Amino acid sequence: MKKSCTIFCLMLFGMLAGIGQAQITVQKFEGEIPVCRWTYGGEDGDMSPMFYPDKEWVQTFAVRFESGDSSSLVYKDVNEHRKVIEFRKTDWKQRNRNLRKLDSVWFPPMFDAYLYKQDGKYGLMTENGVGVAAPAYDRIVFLYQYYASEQAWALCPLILVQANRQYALLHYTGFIVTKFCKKIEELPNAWLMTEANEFKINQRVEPESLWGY
Amino acid sequence: MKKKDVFFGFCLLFVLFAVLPVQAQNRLTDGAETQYRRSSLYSLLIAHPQAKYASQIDYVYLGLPTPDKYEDHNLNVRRVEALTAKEAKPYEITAFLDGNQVARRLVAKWFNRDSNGVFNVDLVADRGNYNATEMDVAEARMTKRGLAMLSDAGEDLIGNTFVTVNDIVYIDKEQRAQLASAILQIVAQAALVATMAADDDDTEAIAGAIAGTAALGSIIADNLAGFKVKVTTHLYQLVWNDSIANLFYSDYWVDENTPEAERLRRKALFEQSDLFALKYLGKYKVKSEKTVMKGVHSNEDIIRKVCARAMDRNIAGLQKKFEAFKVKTPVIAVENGRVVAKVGKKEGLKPSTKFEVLQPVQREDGRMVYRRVGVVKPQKGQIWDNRYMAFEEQSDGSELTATTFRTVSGVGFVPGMLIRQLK
Repeated sequence: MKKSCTIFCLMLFGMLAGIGQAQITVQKFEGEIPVCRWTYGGEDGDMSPMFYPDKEWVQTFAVRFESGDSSSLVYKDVNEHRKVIEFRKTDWKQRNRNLRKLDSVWFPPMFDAYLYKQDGKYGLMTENGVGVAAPAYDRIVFLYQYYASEQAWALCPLILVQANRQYALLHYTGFIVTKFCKKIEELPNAWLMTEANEFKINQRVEPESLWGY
Repeated sequence: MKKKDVFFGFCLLFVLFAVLPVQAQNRLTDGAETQYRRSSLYSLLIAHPQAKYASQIDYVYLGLPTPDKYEDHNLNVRRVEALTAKEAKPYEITAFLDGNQVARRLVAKWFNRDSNGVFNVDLVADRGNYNATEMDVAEARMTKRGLAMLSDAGEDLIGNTFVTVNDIVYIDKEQRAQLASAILQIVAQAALVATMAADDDDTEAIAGAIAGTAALGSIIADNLAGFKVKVTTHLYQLVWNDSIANLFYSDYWVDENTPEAERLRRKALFEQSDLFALKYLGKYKVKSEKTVMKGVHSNEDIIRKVCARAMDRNIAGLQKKFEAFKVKTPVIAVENGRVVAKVGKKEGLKPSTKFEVLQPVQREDGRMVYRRVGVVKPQKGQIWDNRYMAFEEQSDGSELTATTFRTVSGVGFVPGMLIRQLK
């Protein structure tokens, strides 16, 4: 009797531990992941970057991962409406294996690039848990407005990353599109660099300024 | 205090004072090993968006740093799309480079050309360890020493600017990998059945272990899906000689002192110039080797490892094939007469590879010349494995930080000399 009781308790403990493993930590991220409006450039040749968190927009990131149903994600929007994202691909086993390794996951509703944290470092992945950017960054900031000197205001799919106290801009596909710089102000015109890599071999890269020299 | 103790202490101090300076002399100080002239490299990817894993290869490639034996001379354009899934032809690549005047842009980068067309020598001075003020082009051209310095910089630095165009084609081995995966899954299932049916503990444990291993193998096969690439690297060299340099300095050079009208004229001349060219040296092709799974945690790791290693092999192959592309590496230490340098398997080192030891000598006119003072070969078992992710793989030699060489000929090697691979 005693033996079967012990076995039952062990099984129960195992089940509970298993559930715990399958859960992804849901954290308050407002403070931890700054979502910023980044202005680069400005009027009258003012090139100083302004960099501040946009509280309103952060609210739209209120995403909750509910464990148990691996075919969909459930999150709440600003108005607390429950929204469900159905996964397109069905390799659940692989995705869950990948997700389980992570400390926490956030699902910002843009770029198709999902932010995750593993061993204290941030990375990006697809909705199926396939790595887009390795967890190598101390900080990741989603930039949603970016003003380059020669361009108009635009929604810009760029992500600011910080590693080893240096900054670079990352395209949501995982491209690092600038050099790593010690100061944010030193970052080159990443918007142009992204554009510069979309040419075919029989084309002339234009405008010529895309080359940088 | 006993006399014996005093004597012992004195001996210890003597040994310390005698040995420490010798060690200091025989090893380069931190940072000094990076101060030598390297070739400059602009590397470009030919992407095949039609092929599988194209976007992963793109971002892995663009995230790879320039090899540390070269100076980063990259322009903004790092990726260009091929028209088909097949390898691009050399004439297509040459047409792209010529049509976009890449040679002229590489020269512009050497002289930090800004949007007003103004040049400066800061980058040349920095990479060549020159005094920037002494390198004022207008003044330097008036003195014999200045002319020699400009010529030296041209020959040793600008003339050693290379373009590597890497055409990475994915080899689809997925079907074969899926077959392997299916077999492993059947083995896993069979072992699982055996585990459930087993009576005694030993059989159960063995069957369980087989099931676990086979299942893991199946996962890895699924993940890897036989990821293999074929990398063809085309090598170009910037043409830079005295006649081009003379024309450049006399007709196109613009600095802050150039009058406005002259600046505009020269700026336009430089932008229309066809003086600069790239010379096609040749190509080298490799297929990636079998991937060792140790230390690999994700598909991204696999792709990065495969691509990085294949490109390193190409660079090493091109160095062997083309004299001009060979790099020099500084001797960081001499231990018991043996040369130590930060070069390893990534650069294609084998026990049979021979290196010449060069002594850099600055002539009176400021020109740098390299005199051969000996020949060395890697010491067996002392070859550093510096290939990408070798440490994670725990391969032989990955725990080292440099390669030790035995002397074939020559004496008097000191840190600061350079070594260069022989054919």
